[in-house]
Amino acid sequence: MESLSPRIVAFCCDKSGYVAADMVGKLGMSLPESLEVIRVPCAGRIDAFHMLQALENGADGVLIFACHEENCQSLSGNLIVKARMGYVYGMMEKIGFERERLELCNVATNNGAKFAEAVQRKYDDLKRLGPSPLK
Amino acid sequence: MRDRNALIIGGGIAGVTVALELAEMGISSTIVERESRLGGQAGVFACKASEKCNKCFACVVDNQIEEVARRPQVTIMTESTLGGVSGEQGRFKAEIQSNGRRMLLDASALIITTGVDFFDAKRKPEYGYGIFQNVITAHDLDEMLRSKGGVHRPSDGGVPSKIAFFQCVGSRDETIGHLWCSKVCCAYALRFMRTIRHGNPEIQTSFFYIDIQPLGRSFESLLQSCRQDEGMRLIRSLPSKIYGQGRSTHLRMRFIDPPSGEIVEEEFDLVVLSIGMTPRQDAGRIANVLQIPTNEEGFYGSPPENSGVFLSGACKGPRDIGSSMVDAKATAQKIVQYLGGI
Amino acid sequence: MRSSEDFRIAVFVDRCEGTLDPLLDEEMITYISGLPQVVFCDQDENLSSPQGLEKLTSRLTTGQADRAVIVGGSPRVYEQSFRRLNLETPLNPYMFLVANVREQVAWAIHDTERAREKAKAIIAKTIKETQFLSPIGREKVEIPKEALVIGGSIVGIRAALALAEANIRVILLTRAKDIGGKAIQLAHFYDRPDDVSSWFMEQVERVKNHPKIDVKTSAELKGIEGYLGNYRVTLRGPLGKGEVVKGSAVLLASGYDVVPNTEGIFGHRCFIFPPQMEAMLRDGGESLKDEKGKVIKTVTFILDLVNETIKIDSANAVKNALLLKRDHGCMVYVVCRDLKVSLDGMEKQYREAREMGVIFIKYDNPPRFSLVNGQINVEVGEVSTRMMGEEYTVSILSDLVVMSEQFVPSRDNEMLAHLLDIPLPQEGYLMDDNPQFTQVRANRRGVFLAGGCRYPQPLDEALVEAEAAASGVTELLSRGLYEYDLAVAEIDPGKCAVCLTCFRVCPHSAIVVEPYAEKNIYSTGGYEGDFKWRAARVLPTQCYGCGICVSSCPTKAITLKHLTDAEISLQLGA
Repeated sequence: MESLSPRIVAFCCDKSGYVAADMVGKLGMSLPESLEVIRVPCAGRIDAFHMLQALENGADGVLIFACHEENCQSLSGNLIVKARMGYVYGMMEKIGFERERLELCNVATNNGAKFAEAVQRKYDDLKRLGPSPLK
Repeated sequence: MRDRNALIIGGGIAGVTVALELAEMGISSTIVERESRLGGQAGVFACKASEKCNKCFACVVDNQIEEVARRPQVTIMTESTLGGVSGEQGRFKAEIQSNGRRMLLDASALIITTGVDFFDAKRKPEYGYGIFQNVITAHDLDEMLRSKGGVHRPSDGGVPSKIAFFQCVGSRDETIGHLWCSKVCCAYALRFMRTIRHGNPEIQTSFFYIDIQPLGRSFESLLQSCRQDEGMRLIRSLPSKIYGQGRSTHLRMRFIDPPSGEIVEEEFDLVVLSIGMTPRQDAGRIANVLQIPTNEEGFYGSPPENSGVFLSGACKGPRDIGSSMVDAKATAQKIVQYLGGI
Repeated sequence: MRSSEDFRIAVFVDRCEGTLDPLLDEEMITYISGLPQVVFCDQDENLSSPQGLEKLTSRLTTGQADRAVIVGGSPRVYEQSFRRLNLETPLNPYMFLVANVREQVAWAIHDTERAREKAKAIIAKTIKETQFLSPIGREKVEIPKEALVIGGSIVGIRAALALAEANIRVILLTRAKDIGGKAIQLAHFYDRPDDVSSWFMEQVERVKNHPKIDVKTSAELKGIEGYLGNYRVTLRGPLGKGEVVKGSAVLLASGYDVVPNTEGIFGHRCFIFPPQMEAMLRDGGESLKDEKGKVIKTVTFILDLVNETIKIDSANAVKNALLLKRDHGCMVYVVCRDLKVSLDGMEKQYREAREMGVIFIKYDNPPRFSLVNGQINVEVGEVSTRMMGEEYTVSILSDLVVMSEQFVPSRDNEMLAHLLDIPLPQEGYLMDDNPQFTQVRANRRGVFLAGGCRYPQPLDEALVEAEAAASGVTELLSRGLYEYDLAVAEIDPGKCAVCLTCFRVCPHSAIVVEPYAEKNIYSTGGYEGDFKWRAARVLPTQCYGCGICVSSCPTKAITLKHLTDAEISLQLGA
């Protein structure tokens, strides 16, 4: 069954993702209205708990926008969150969530086009995949 | 202790960085920028990350521009140009044209960060820029990647299958009298190739060069990864001419195939000209106004010590973003010393 | 927990000079004004302008509201304006939240109806989120105008001078018996005709005589600790009692090492290294002689067997090739893979050398060396001679072959990285802060790097770096004070299990472990007097507010004042 409008929660690191999100409109590209942006100072601030909480509260998919590897202001915030995602993937498998519902995307402040593309791609994937198993 | 305010001519990365550093030291400055935006040449560069950051510094320029706008000590005047300067040694009076009005600004230090122009590829007609649609410059490629995110052929919008990068366009070239290396082109072309292939692994890229120039501490690993990438060829031979047929997508060129030493002919559907840096067209005029020496190439030489005039960035000679920023910081230090220290 | 009835929220709507009109119609304003706890809803055409913000400030002096929401563009725009105008609002700046309905809604959602729905949802949620806001204060710490420079190379010397000329007192530490380093080996600059020795001696004299610079030679580092404004370096001394020197900031200029390869044939006297070439050109008469008195006629420079991506060897080779040709009438060959000309003026020097008869040979396969009648035969395949898959091997009988010394990280880097608690990447050179901050500083606030300890570079570039690092120090010290918001991580010592996770994971070395806690989660009591438990503590001047420690702490003992878990949960709809 196709989902009408997949809800995507995007954790955006203030040093990359959030600024890229701001750039999307300036380029004339668009974002789905079911996208929710959560601003964090660094992707490393995001705990496994937050990712699961997002899914628990109705998100069909979770995207984490962090700096490119070797470009993190906190040096390894992007790697730390990647490691935590590994742990969350394990849990997701056990409780019946498809792996595609959580993804890491590396962007820089001027990657507006990449941000828009990543969100659109996830949106289309989630439409195909259907709503979250919790629904 | 002198009255402390600086006038910065040119709002590219060097000018913006000088302003930021001076602001942190409590010295106010005014940036006079002729375009409607700050950032200069580097302000429109695209991110060139592949599976990791490739240290192109494009995002750093964007960040610095945002940072400088947060500083109360910095006044930014866009669409403004420098008319003339009078006075000397810490008491300058500069005439600025801004939005059709003329105004006079006092300054205790004058900083020239007017930067460079990029080489006009039409001056190398043998490459067919402006004639063949699928011959573009690195600047065009930056624009494409920044606004669309992916590379495509101008002729039909399709994804290219074979891209050729021509190095040293406008640099190291006796035929046009450009006897300098622009320093950044080898690195930026290799980064372009990495980012393009990361987005579209089926695209084959070839890099035609004279000598590979290193840039920065991360260059070694960049070069290594390029050498190991099977979709990238590094060819020590520069084709002298590009052949095409009207509006056909394909472009032919002849070069010496290094392993065999034979002349071969090959077709590509996109050619990127790695254009170098040249002194700005009005560099001579500004040099006259401010009495700055210029060298043979047209880049600026050092102003006399203790004159209160400082230079920073690529106007002194081709420079990458990182070195321009380091140079700007060093210049800020010289300025604060000149103005009496902290 | 305060009742939500107590909150009084002011809403400021930024119409962004009419561009948000379709979104912010009367219905929207009525909707916003009707949301719970909203005491008033003001509008302005351009909130981020000085006039707009002045109006905002005066509206807040009435004390009607204790927290505020801005509805308009990206929060980054308002943060920018607040900072730029040095805004003192009656409300603490951390009692503001921004609902971004422009960049991420109006501009990115092209269907106006949908954009309005989205805007309403975001605004309602942002208003609810204000319940978690609490004021965050500002602190200042005194920063004496003194700095430490570690490393007595020309880079350290230049940095010390740059600082001293800006009125900062400098203590320059070197392990050697005297300052100077490798620069003394250079005979000529590649880019200017000045004499290196006299320039060099002048720099050394200036440092030694400068009233603001104190040079300590034979100084061995034992420990480095502290934070911005208060770094303390302990030196090794006799009987284990070392001197402690203090500085507000630390600048590392500890250089790089060289490893000459003298194995096998390379140990022969006809193989020399750049420092010997420099010495020969400085001391030699019109015709150069080797150590046995034989006249040198043919010199070959071998490049790119090591240091392939470093420009120093190429620059020196071309410079010296010109001198050998012009002043000593030698036959000169330069054998390389790629000639590095990416330095100012190098391309012209290279052409001049070629015109004078210096022969440049480019190879793909490394040259081979053999001894022939007291000379070295250099055999190398020139790439441009290839035909039909075969290449012509050139044989150069050389009186002198100049090899490169391999540049390697200083053997002190590991020790320095360890003492300073900054990361040391695999390549072994000290690590800059991430590219977003650019080189010359480390990721620990108050620590700077310049020159060869970061990466081997030509002299002129290293000198610019020295000044740039000095400017970093100067900025931090310029006001005599360091002011910062307490928008940092804070550890509750009573919950700390001293697992050291936060200490290890903090990218900025901002966490220390000290005895300061009144109680401890393991404690069952019975401790008296002024006994204090050890617990982790965040040094507020060093914290960047990234929050990595917050999410790593297993007992949730750490909070990030400006973005708590409760706030995130609310945003997620929990």
